[in-house]
Amino acid sequence: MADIRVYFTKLGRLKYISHLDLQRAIARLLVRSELPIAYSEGFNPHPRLTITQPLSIYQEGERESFDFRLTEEIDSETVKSRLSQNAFSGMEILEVEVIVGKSASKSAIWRLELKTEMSAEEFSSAFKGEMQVTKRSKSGEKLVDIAPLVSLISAEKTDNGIVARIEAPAAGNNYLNPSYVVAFFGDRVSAKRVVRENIIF
Amino acid sequence: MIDYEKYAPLLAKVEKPGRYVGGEFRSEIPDPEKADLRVCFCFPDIYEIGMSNLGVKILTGALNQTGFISCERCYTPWPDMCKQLTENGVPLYALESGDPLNLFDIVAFTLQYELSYTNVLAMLKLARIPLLSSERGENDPIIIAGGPCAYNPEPLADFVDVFSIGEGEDALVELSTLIRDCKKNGIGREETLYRIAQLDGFYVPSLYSVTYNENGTIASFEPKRSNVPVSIRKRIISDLDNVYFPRKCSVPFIETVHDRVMLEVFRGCLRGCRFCQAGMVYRPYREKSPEVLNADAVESVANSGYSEISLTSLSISDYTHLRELIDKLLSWTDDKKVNLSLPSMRIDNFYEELLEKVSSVRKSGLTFAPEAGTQRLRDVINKNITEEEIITACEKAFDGGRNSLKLYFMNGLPTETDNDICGIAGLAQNIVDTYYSKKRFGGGRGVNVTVSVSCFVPKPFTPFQWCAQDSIEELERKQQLLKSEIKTKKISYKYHDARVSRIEAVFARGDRRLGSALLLAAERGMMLDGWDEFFSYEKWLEVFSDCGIDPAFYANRAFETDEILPWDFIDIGVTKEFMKREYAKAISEETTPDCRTKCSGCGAASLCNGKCVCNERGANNG
Repeated sequence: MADIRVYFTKLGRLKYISHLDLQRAIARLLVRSELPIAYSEGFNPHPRLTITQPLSIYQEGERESFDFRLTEEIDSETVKSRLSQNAFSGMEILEVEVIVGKSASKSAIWRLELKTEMSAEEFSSAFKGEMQVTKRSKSGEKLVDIAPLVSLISAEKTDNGIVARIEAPAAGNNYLNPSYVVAFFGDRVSAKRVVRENIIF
Repeated sequence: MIDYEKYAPLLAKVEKPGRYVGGEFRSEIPDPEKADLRVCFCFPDIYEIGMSNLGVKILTGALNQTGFISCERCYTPWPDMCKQLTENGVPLYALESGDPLNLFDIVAFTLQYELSYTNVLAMLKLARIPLLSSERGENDPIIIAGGPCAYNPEPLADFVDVFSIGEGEDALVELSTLIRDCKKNGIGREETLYRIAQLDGFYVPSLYSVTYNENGTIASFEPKRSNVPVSIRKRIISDLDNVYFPRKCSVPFIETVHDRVMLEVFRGCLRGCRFCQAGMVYRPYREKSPEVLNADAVESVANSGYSEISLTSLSISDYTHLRELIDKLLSWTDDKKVNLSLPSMRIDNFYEELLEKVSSVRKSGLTFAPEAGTQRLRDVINKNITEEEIITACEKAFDGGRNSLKLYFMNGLPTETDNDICGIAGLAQNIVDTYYSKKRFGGGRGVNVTVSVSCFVPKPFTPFQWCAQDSIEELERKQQLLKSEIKTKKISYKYHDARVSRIEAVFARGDRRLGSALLLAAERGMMLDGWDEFFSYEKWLEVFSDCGIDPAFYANRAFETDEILPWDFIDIGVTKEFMKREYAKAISEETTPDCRTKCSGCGAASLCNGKCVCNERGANNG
């Protein structure tokens, strides 16, 4: 028995695929790879599979991860090559590692490619004050200041906009979708691409 | 590869953008730039339905392996995407290359049900291809259509350049070869269509003229040019073991209606239900061998990663080698955690044994299709199932621990009386009583019988093709009568919208004069009529009245057995004489045994040199 973590990309057309659909696609990938994988118990067993953090539709990921369990020992290189051979376009298998114990994700690094006329300074200064956004949840809508949650790593001016890199919480019970950051700027910015560069454990 | 980024602004504004980007695992196709011929295969309904269709997988696969064709796919966009395409001036595009449909050499449609005709027109319109064949020029694609509804192609005669009649694996390759050669040699559209009309199994509607009698029926139907056949015989594949089957299908990301490996065990059906078009047009009955089917299954699972296999044929229990096939499959499916689903399986000892022994056989919902409530009416429609058989099967299923089942019926069947309608409630009640006749497992668990009733639609190439459909008022009266006859909450009752069935009947038995109605419906933006949320009976009545068409002429009129039917020029192998005989037997409440028990001389054996399941050579062959 070994718990395996696979790092992969979710790029290009895969941004149009929802989290649930991706989960099903990965389960099929595991089956196609003919690896000895652990199945769930029950009447309709399916591969035991956990995607570390869901990614919203329209967002891409450069280093996503999922975990599964092998019932026999197989070296990581073999696992990697079997998965690579059976992966779909937009998914590249980056790395396969054995994990010991449960390690939960803490935060994520995001790259926001924005179309805007704002200057990099103007954009950056916003992160120093309060950033009130309307958050929707089951209990209704409420105003939340997201500034304390987000840290701006860099903001660079490009031809017609800004590329900003931010770190935001990405734990199971504490997650901030960067779409709130985009939403904070209202119609001053529009997102061309939202890419999760990395998940930090 | 598709530059989907150019569609990103549209995709950002629609629900389920995954429907419109392709890129599924194994969806690669031969390079369009290197192919001699580009085909876009369209399914006139949304992605989730179209991607479930085995026929599309077979035909696109068969074309893509020819070496000279690059075949792509397209589905009907949901209205939100239609709006985006229209507002942004973007023509409908194919999923693999992202190229607009009007750049293709051939745009093909499969016609699975009458209510998708408006989708065909909507897709052409979104693709900016002229709707009328007569208005297409040298640079427009050739529009072809096939599938079950092509057996009466006439309602779409104004819009489709070529109909493919019958099974398409060989026929479409032949057609494509001819079109490629014409294209290479600079032969124009008109001449190309004329040559296609001389191929076996193809119908070019523009090469025929129709005249009408004063009472509206057809006076004549004739080819306009020499060498154009008077009658078009359907194509069939005689050896299913040696025909192309797609073992490497694309695997959708989005969950589709049938998201699993599908195995086609046989084509045709042994039972001659007199209302059933599939049972007639797919004759003769031809089986695939268990060895080939098992190999198909092994490879399909390995190539896709699917964890379910479904055996899809009309009445799976009729398969000669069923036990052998299931044994072969079960020898590996359990290990691979692959489920087996056997939809149209008869509930007999064999089935119950299977359920008990093997956990990988999916307990499919228990369903029966008695179709009619009394033995008399079941004899009329030739549904050879008795109440006793149903009760016995239910008893077995209840003993096995099950407590719910579904029954399918039709109302409005020829010769139906109120007594037959009440019989439906009676049969359901008997099943409920059977459940309570002895103490069952699970103590307090009650039984639930679902009665689902659709409305009879007379279909071409059935013994009931001449019959009138009941009026809406009559269908609805019968629906209410049945409702009042059901006295217990153990029976849940569902029925179809009679208005939908009426429009279906109009197009099922329609002729080419309905083209004006379809054109007007397309102008008015009507589409997705198979979806309750978009179907509007009132709009259809308006369309018919604005075109001077009386829908009752097609739906509610008893056709004369000696009048020229709009689909008479299509030859399905089964003869009109057989249909007439069966119709007469129906009226006198006589049944016809299944093909294996006794040959009824339907004529279909002529399609495969006299070999058929009903004679010895056929039996040995199968």
